[in-house]
Amino acid sequence: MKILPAPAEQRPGCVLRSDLFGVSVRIHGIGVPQARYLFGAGGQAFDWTELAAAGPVEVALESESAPAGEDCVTELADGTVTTVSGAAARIRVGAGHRIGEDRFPDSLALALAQQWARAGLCVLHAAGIRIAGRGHVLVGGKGQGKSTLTAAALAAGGQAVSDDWLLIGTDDHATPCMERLRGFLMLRRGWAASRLGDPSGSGFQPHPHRHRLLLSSRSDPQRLPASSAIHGLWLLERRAGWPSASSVHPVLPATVMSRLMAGSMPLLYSSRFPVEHGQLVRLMARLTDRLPLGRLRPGVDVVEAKDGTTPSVFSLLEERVAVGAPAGRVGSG
Amino acid sequence: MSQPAVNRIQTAFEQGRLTISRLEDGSGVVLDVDREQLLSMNDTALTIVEAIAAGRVSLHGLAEMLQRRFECSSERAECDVLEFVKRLDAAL
Repeated sequence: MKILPAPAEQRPGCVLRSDLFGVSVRIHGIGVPQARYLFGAGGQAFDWTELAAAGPVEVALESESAPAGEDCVTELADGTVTTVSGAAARIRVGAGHRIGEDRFPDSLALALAQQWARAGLCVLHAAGIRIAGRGHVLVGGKGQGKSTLTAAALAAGGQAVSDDWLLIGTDDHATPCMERLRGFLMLRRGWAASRLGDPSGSGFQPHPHRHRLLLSSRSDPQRLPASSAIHGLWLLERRAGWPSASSVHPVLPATVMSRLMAGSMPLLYSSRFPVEHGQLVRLMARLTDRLPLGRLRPGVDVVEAKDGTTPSVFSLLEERVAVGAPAGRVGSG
Repeated sequence: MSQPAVNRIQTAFEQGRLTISRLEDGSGVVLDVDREQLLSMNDTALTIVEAIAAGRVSLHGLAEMLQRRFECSSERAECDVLEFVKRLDAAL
């Protein structure tokens, strides 16, 4: 994802361009340095609430068409988003709006997700890793193990696209692909981090303000590629503690679709967004039809494999991908 | 008792509260945007929901449709429709 200057206008602006998917989104009202900061790609720190005095932020596909439907107004903690299916979105930041600890505003996330959905792309809360040259998407909420598995993939000689937000779609050859949205990996300090995030070997550095370890995606393009084809899609299931061994279990395509919807922006699948809904359901159908799917329960092997060896969790995923197991028929581990 | 439940579900579709997303294998997901919940459904359940969304609101009509589509007995079809409608209504 490139963050480029927008054509000169009265207010600052930028363009988010995905070369992988051939899609550009224009943000009118947020300049390149601010956008880089929000996406964790360097840039210049700024206070989101300063936008209250600067007028609404407009988010649109660069090749904007203008079919207008009914306005949908969504009130979020950091802004009010007005969206119209198949058209540009507007964000108004007021005096009472506040941004959370995670510097990326929910209002901007919704506006961007809607524009990308118009282009057939899905913003997904998931980790993306590459093992033995094959891409895996790990879908899970907070605390399900996304960052730990991502750090484990790096420790095992694999690659990491992202440990939190991905842009998912299909390329010119209809191959499912993922692209990272943010420019860093972040690992919660604790048992797993002490094994996987050792700053001396992995490149992770202490976060300046939070009890986390950080790894800039720009620090090592070889280990941290910006994008990858997807060869398997796995729903993370982690209950209290870690079982002694990782396992993979069958899952129904409708369950996968439900989790993908929950991990993106469910509002965009509602009847208020017919254009986005149609595009996203076509994408979900392609993903669930073409990719090996399963429920992944990570075990202690994720963090206990010896240096240079592959934890059994990744061997399990590799086995499933190698046999090209169709949806719902992934054997139990 | 279940006819009002069917009517409530149909009203929820009319109001845009419920939306169906169907996959190629016939299964799919119903989004309840008001309660922010996602309900995964198999082909049979989604067929019933789609019929209700399309305005078929008679329990008898739903059972007949199910019987024709899945070639099951009328007793089985009625039982499945009643059970499913009750459960979906309770979830909303």
